[in-house]
Amino acid sequence: MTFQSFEYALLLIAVFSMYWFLSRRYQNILLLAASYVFYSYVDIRMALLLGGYTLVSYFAARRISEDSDNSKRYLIGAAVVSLGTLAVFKYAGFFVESTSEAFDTAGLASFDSTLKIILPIGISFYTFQSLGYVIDVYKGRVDARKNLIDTALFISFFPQLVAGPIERASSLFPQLERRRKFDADRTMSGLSLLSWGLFKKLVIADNIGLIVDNIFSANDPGSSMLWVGTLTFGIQILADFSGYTDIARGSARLLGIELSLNFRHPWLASSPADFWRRWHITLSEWLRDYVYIPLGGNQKGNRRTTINLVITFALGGLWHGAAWNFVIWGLLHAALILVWRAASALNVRSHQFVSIIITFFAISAIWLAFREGEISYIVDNIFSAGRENQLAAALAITALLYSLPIWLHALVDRPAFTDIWTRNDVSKTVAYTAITLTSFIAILILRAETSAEFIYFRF
Amino acid sequence: MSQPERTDNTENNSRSMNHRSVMLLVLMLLIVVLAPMAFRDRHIPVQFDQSAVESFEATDANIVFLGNSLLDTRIAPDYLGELIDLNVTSLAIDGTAPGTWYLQLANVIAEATNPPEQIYVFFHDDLLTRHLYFTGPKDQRLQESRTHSNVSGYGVLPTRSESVTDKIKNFLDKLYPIANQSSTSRDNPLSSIGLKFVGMDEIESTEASGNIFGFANKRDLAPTIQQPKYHGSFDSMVGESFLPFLYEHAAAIGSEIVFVRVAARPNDDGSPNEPNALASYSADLRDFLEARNIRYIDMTKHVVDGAVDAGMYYDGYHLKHRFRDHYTEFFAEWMLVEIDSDSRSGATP
Repeated sequence: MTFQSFEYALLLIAVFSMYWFLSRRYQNILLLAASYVFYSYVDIRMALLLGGYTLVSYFAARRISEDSDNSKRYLIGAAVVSLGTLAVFKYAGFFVESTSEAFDTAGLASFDSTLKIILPIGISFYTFQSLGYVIDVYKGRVDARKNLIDTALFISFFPQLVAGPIERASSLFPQLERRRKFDADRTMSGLSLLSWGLFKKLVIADNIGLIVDNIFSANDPGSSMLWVGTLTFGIQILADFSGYTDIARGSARLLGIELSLNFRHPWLASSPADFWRRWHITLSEWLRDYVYIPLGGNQKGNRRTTINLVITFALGGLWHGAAWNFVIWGLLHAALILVWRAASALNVRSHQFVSIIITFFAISAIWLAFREGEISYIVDNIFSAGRENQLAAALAITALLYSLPIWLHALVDRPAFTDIWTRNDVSKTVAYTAITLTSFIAILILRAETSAEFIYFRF
Repeated sequence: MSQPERTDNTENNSRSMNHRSVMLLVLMLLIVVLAPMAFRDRHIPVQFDQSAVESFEATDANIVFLGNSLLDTRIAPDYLGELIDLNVTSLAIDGTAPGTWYLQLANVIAEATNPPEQIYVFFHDDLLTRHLYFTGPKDQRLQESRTHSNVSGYGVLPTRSESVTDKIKNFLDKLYPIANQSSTSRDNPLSSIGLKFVGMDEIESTEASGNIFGFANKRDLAPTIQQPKYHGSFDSMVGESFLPFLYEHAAAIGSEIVFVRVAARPNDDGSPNEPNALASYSADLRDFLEARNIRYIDMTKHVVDGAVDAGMYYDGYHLKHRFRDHYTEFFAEWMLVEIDSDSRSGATP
């Protein structure tokens, strides 16, 4: 069930209609039931996997809390089971294929490299979320929860189940452990956020997706067209993923739950490091807190910092997909941060606006490795002569026009503007109504003919 | 004494604030729901296209092909006509489904003074038994141009039962008619403003798009797009499908109808990409048609023979353009052998 589907709208309306008449316990039971309906809509076996993750996290956290002498063993056990399951479902095929290719290249006997395992949707997200909870219990940051329903809901809460935000136990559990009361202001805010997210997905991402798909499905697009495809993909993926996040956060807000912010206008980033403080924030913070810092972070000298950074970004790339191009994409980001650091150490300075422009183009160029898995295709086209340059320019302008609302949002989302419309409840209502109504009408008129699946659903 | 009074006031204020917030929420919902309805339908139904009948009549076709782009990438009608020495025409229209083919059969082919001897219907997976509304709004004008409900004798689309979800969707479509007004241009990624910026006109852009994004310059994306689709057992689908209308109408005009199910792109090891459910569907369809003495060809078997291989596909279903003539020859060979045979079912080219 995807957010832009009619079925999701029916589910959300049904849950919302019953939710406010229930006690805390039954609110959570309803949300849990809805989450499992949502997740098992395509394949009921997926729900069993989710249930398995829940039981592992629940019992591991309880045992860590109750048996401090063996807590490390329970942590390692939970990590092995969670990451092992993720490895089997997501990386087994990649590992077998890569090993077979390596054998083949070395002149050793190759073997059948096809391994067909279905990838459960959202597995990377809920693996990290559930594992984060167990680690937090081990570190003493949160208490192990005794209520299995609350724990199950923490891992499976449907608005953020399949593509985040990756929530922390310290943020989501307290919200699930109190009764949510209806709040009209919050409902209005949730509706406007949800409709803005739908607009970004159905109008911006899907229309730009047509351009991107056309370019990358061409056998010989030529260099200029390939660069346009890369730049527009950067816009598409932002609209797609931040659109998803807004729908998730809007849906959760309708149910009285506040999910973490996942995007903070990443196009306004003035350096690659700043980009990662604005893009997929919950993943960046997860990798920082559970990988980079435990490795030593930047506390053990320059050489070690560089190694830690490379490892963290390579893992971040691999988290996105079981393919070398994602690893390369992660490594390119690490390289970009290191180059920026070196430039900064050499006192290379530029005006902030120039930094934003340079960062935007540097990050956009790296998206090429993310979008295209066939390295030979990139190499063949990137150095080839430009074809149909005029058409490429027209497509780039079209994509920019579609993305104007996101740019405008980045410009007006600052206190000087938000103070005006949050002054009183009437001004807030006017603003929420304007956003929701405009998004709704724009979706009716401008939505793309077909809506593609959210890009991050495949991770 | 003053403290309780303050509490009462605070509670009253809070209650009236809540009340006010709820009223504002209701107002917001009313505006959001009602305002878009004001954009009324300016859609003028397309008149029946009589020229389609005249054009078809002019071909004086012995054999007619019905289908969508899958047919278009497989059969070159003129070339096939040369090979089998008969008049062959194709009425293939991209993105169409059985409902549209029924309209073409009932309102174009059947209206011609010289109905064809044979009608071949090409489809993939279980498309033959899916409902018309599956084709979506893209076909609305096309359907109108093939429908003439004001004149008796012209076929109109039979009303099929719909799921609750589809009924709600249709209701919303009526509620918000602007949702369908610009649908015809939604599959074009280029905006007219973008073209004006670079000084291109529509003809230039179409030509340039063709050079880059055209059929001949497509990459093989089969592993990532278009996989076989299955929507339910044959028995559960046939009663709500256009299949009976198609063969009954063909029989009424005295034409033989032949159903051809094309194969999805084979797996990399050369085996057919045919899930068990679809294989079972095909067997049931064969039995159903055999019982009615209707010829059915399941092209999946050609994958096993090696006559059609993965390299001939540019995606999950469509063949690369350069293999169109090859496929036409391959099909002609079968037709020349089978066209006069008495074998009425289970034929294998």
